[in-house]
Amino acid sequence: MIEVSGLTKKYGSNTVVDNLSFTIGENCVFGFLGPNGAGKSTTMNMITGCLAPTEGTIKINGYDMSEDSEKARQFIGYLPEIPPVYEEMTPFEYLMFVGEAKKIPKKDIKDNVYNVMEKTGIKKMENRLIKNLSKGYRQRVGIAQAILGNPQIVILDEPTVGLDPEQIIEIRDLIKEIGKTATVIISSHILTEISAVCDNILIISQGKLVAKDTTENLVGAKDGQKHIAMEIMGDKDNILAAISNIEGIIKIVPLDTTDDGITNLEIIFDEALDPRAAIFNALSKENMPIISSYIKKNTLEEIFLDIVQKSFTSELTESTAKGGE
Amino acid sequence: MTAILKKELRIYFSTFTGYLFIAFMLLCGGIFTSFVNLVYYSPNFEYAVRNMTFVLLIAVPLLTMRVFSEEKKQKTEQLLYMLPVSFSRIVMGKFLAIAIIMAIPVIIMAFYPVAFSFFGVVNFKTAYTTLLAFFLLECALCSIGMFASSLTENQLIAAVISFGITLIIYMIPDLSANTSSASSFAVKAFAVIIAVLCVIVFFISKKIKLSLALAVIAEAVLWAVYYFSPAVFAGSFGKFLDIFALFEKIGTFANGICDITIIIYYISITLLFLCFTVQSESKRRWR
Repeated sequence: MIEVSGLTKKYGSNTVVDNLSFTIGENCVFGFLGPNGAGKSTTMNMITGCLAPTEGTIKINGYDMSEDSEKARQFIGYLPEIPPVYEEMTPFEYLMFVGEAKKIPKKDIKDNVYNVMEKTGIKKMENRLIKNLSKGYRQRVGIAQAILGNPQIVILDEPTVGLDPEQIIEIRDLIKEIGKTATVIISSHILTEISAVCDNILIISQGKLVAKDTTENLVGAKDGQKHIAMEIMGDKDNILAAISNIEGIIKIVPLDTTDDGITNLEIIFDEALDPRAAIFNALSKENMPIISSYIKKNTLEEIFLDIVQKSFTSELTESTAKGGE
Repeated sequence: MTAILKKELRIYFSTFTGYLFIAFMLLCGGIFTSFVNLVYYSPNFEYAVRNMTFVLLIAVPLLTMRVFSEEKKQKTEQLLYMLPVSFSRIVMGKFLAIAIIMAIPVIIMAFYPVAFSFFGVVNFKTAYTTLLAFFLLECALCSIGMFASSLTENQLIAAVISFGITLIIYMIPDLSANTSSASSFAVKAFAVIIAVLCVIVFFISKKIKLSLALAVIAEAVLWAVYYFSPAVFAGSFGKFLDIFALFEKIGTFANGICDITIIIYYISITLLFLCFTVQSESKRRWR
């Protein structure tokens, strides 16, 4: 559906997007992550045809964005960082204009417009001038224009900015619903939002692709290690003495001991050696019962920071090596 | 294109810019008609039309300044770029919207000669061909204003650029009359124009070698022609300037001559600047 190959954008000598290549399939929700200035919005602008790349190709359903731009853009609905709304128009007039420009058949435009107004909750504001709407409602009008005409690809740059918590939940649900019939790409700084909505995640840093995987894979695994959080009835020192020599345990992080004598700790272990049974036996032998135990998944924040940090470090190492030469 | 046209018309009339332009043109038309026709009991409406052309110096830049600069400022240009509509259709839609607004006062003024005909003999052919030329002049100036608006996101700067170009065009007959007809003056003036054009080529293409090569070749040809046949340049700079005297050409129609070449000339200037606008907008995507 979306094939990006060798995508590069340079502003003078500054490379904002550097040789980005990825493919996005049908009917899924893709999260686009990256620190500020990573090139997320630039990449989105290039995918939607708003900005021409310096190098590389973008194909939308087989249509090249540079050569068959008009055809390629037919499949896309886009909400840029700042909603592209005309303040002098009402939401209804604005959406009617977008519908006509998107070449929706004349007889279907009105139905389509009312449908998206209903979905985005702007029906009651349909006859109010956009300049008199709040930031949240403007954002909704922007989302409405993006999904108008049921495009096969919907690209949303920071879609929940300016919305209140209730509206955020509504929009997240809407995104999930759109994701059932269309490919949705979302860029957001709110990582919980990405992990709540997206099936797949793309992380870019300094214009380069540093990770592309399913949310589950990214959040569930990190370098073949697993974290286990435990509550054990017993003294901290005794517990450490009992289990610290078990093969496969990489690190034990004792947290605290409660007044009931329960010690909370986290154990990081090698997934391949899986020492969980040995831990159970050792604690059982010392009469220190396990009250609770569960595999702790890495948060997306940790994964994101880790991956971005690694990319910065490798970049630094490369530039140092080049400087040394 | 129809969607863009309708959207532009809606915005022009919801912001009152459209009403203001129409009212201003009708007011000026009324004042000039009163002075030229009513005060002097003259049935020649074409003279009133010819005399009011300088009003366009202010009216057209004010009408066109927001066309693209406002889209850039409000960040709505991204919407236009991603819609499945080509740049040429976007530019044409916007141009037609302004043309419709400009046509409204012209159509209303077209009734004035009919009113005069009740009190004297009116040469309808001359009156209406002059009015047509006036409208085409408006279109040409509008395309220049649109081009200026595509260069910046500041409406005021767009208006100043448009006004500056229009003012120079308006003053060309005076400039032409006061330039020396000597060959040496003409060749130096052409040399300066070539240098300026090559600087513009450099700013657009950012290719120094190409710009320098063009400058060297063009200057070499110019000075070679001057060396072998200096007489060719006698009075040529004044004639060259006259080519761009858009306002002056309307006088031909007011004098009762319907010159089709001038109509084609106005249409060509309009299309040329609309093409420049399309190129200017397309180029923004590549920045």
